[in-house]
Amino acid sequence: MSTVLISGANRGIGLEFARQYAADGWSVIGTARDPAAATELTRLGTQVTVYPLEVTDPASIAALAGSLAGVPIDVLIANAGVPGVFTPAEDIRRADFIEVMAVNSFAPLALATALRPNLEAGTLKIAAAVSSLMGSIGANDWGTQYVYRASKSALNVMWGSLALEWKPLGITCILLRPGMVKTRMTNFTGIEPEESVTGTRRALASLSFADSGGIVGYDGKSIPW
Amino acid sequence: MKPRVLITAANRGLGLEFARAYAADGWAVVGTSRDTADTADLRAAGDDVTVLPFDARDDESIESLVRTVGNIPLDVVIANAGVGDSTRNASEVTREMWTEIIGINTWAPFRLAVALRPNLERGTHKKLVGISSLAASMGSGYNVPGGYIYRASKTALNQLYHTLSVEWRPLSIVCLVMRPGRARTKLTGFRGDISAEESATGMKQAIMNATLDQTGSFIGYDGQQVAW
Repeated sequence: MSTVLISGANRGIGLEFARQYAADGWSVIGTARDPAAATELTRLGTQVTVYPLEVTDPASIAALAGSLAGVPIDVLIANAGVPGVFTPAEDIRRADFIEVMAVNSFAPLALATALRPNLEAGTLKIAAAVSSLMGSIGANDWGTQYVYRASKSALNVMWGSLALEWKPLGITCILLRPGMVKTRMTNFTGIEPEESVTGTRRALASLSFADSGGIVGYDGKSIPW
Repeated sequence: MKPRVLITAANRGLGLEFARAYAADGWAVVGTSRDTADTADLRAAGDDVTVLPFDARDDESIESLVRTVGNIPLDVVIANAGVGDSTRNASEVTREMWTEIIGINTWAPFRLAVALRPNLERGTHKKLVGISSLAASMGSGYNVPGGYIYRASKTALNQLYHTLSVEWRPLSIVCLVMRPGRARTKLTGFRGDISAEESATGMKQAIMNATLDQTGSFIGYDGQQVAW
């Protein structure tokens, strides 16, 4: 039986990942800031365990890694993220910027690093992080959402560095592009979470080690950096 | 009226060479320095050099610089101030280092650019320049390990300046991010393939050559496009 760890698994894309992997018979470790409130996640079944995680808090990450010591993880999906402010450039403040860069860029790296022994003990050895078309610079011809864009671009380049660093460990580091999905983040516009996650899981299932450092989309299409 | 350039961290390294190169061309230079006691070389860079304090870590310092500049036209703004990152692997990246470097290398150049937009609009050349790095490139096969936060900070800067270029195109402001090459400066521990002068004069030429059609692009000191 394979094991997947999904951060931010209490709603949206994270919850759908948990639902589909659980339905496939995987062991699912889901994290949420408040496990007591993660009722939809808990209800998925006995193969789902829920741990508390505040992704920007190094002590919280360390506690999670401590709880999971010795547990092999096949696939890590660093999914937790925030949309950031939608204000014009003039109205963006340092605190808005730093917070989103911490949640969307720093935290996935910190989580992956803390769980490296678990990934090494796993069979599939996949460290995935949820990116976005908005992180692409080459495809950006419409502007908007400065902070979110910057955070995903930063995530992309660091995942490339991680792929380089972890190559000797045989860990595949991959970025995921789930598409525009009906979640709280998008104000419920876009495709259904089920379609996004089905496509993204298909992409994950057909990964090879040579893909490490790249980005895969739910629709199988590639995008520029 | 002679053109005017504003350069952050112009007291040494690439910033100082930019100041010298623009001054030699007869430009007025506004150069900033975090340490106002270390500005003798900058003051000597030309005969129309104004030195102002600026600390990229401090929002009040950014806003203070903007207030001091007032409504004078700026033809070129070069957000050059930046710091390196000594992390060799992912496990060395701490939240504190992350916040510090992202604040200096990404947030400050963004905020400064946005706050100085009215000055750029009043200028003739209308060019905003961020100093990036080949390390920010994902598509060029860059494979130097480590430097996680530095890479992230510069890739995020690329994205922010590119986004500005999209939104500012109707204002005819040309936004560029530049690859300075591996220049011998404090940031590289003075180990590099080119001198700071060669890097800065190369970038200055590329900035001069850039038209609105190139806005939003990533250009090297050698004038070549760099992959995102």
